[in-house]
Amino acid sequence: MRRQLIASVLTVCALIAAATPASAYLHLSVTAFGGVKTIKWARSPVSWYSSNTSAPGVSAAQFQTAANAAFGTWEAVPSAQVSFQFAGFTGATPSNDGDGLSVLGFENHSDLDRTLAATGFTIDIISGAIVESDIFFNTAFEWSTSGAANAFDLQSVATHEIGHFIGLGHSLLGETELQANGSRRVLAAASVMFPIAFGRGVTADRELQPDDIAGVSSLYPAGNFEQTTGSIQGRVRLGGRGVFGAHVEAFNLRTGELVAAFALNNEGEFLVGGLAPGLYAVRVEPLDDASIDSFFDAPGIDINFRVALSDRLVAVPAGGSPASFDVTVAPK
Amino acid sequence: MRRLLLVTAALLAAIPTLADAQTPRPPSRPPAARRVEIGAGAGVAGGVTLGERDAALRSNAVTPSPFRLFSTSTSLDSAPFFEVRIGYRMTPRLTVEGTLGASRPTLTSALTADVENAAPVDATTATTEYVITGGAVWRFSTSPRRLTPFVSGGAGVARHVYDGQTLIENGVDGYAGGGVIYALGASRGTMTRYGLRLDGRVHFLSGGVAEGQGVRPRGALSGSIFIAF
Repeated sequence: MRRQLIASVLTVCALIAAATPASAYLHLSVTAFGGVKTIKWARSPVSWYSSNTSAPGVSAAQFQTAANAAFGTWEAVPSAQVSFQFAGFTGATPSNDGDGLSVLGFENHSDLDRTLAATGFTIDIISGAIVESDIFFNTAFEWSTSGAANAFDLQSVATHEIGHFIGLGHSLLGETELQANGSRRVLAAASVMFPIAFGRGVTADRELQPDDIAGVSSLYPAGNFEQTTGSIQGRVRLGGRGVFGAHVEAFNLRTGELVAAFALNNEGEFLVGGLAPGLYAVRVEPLDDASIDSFFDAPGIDINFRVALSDRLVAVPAGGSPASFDVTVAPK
Repeated sequence: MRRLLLVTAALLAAIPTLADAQTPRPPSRPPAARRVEIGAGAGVAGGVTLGERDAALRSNAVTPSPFRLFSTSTSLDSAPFFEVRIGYRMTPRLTVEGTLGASRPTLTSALTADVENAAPVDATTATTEYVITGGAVWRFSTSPRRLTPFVSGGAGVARHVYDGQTLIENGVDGYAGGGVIYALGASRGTMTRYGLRLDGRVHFLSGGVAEGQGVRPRGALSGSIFIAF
């Protein structure tokens, strides 16, 4: 019998209701025994259950239909290989961690007044395999499956949460503005995985963006994904040192696609993968359009620098990466 | 003595015969056409605009509209080029030819109008462009004048290799133009003719670095030296 340690991991990746955008993809990971493991499902199809609870305006059946459509959106990515299977309705709730069932459903969390929904995991911390994942949708908010103007679109939010369910972190591809109450409102976003939801009545996040597709494809690559896409690698530097947590955005001049990643170490090294071959412009910005802890639980994220556009166009080949280069930013 | 007289008579008899043979002179003929022409030269290719595009997000609206993150305006800059050419003269007026050209233009994208006020920059990368074409040249005159105008046209393949040779893109290059040939003469003791050739062309690039931009025109001027034999 295989030795296995199971740990219930805290709920991560809340989707904040106070409208605001974000960008770039991250893979969720867990640190254990001195190593970092990317978390993902080890097998497909992944079975999921739909809670038999309802919310005002959304029946349990309507909920299941919307969730099923959201799963289908991720499943349909041709360059990724992950699939799902609806296992039935259940009386179990998403809060029942460790029951072996991955459950999606409504729950009331009126204390979480900025959280539309959240995803939790049970993980094999030796292998990084997801054992169970649950998603609750907060009935403290109004929900709709038809794009009603006064409610949040269930399928859009489910698409975001299922991104977490399969192991994706947040993206910072978006712009926000600070509200008087300290929250942030999304002005625009180019990734479903932006941590702050679009406003009521907006159904745009039912459709994955290039950043989301790159993220899921790099986590569950299908076919020749790694041979047909390339990457950009380099360092973000400020005054001769690396910038940890800098957000690096790659813009395809021909297709208009935006894909992004973060500099993930103290040297400011970054790698933006899953890029279609072509020419890219590169933009670097600080993580200041959403709360840092919705991306990282590590200290030392540097946001005290100005947005910069690289003076270098980068030619990305299929199946490879051009030479590493530096992007120099200036302090704020 | 008698023998000597006989020899002299034979010579005298022979001379009139040779003189008679020259009397009905055949009509003069042009020198044999030099069929093959090779040339090499250099010139300048003009820049070509490759379009503008905004890096855009989806706005937070029921009907999302593009929200500009920053703007780009991309062009392939003007650059000198070198070319070699080989032609075959089908008729006194018509020559078919093949040309190989190479240049090192810079691809530039002006990045401006950042939503968070990043300083505008010109982002660049070096490219190497190879153009292989087949075409035809039509001379307006067949007389051995020193200056002969011509028109030309053709098409071929343009290959763009980006800096580091990590990415290669192929396109189609068509051209039309004209110019003049300035004959310098024939080399002493050979049948070779040589001269100078000045070309002005408009190239129409499709694909390659201009992929997705339709057909993009650009001008080119070149001078070359050629030898025909």
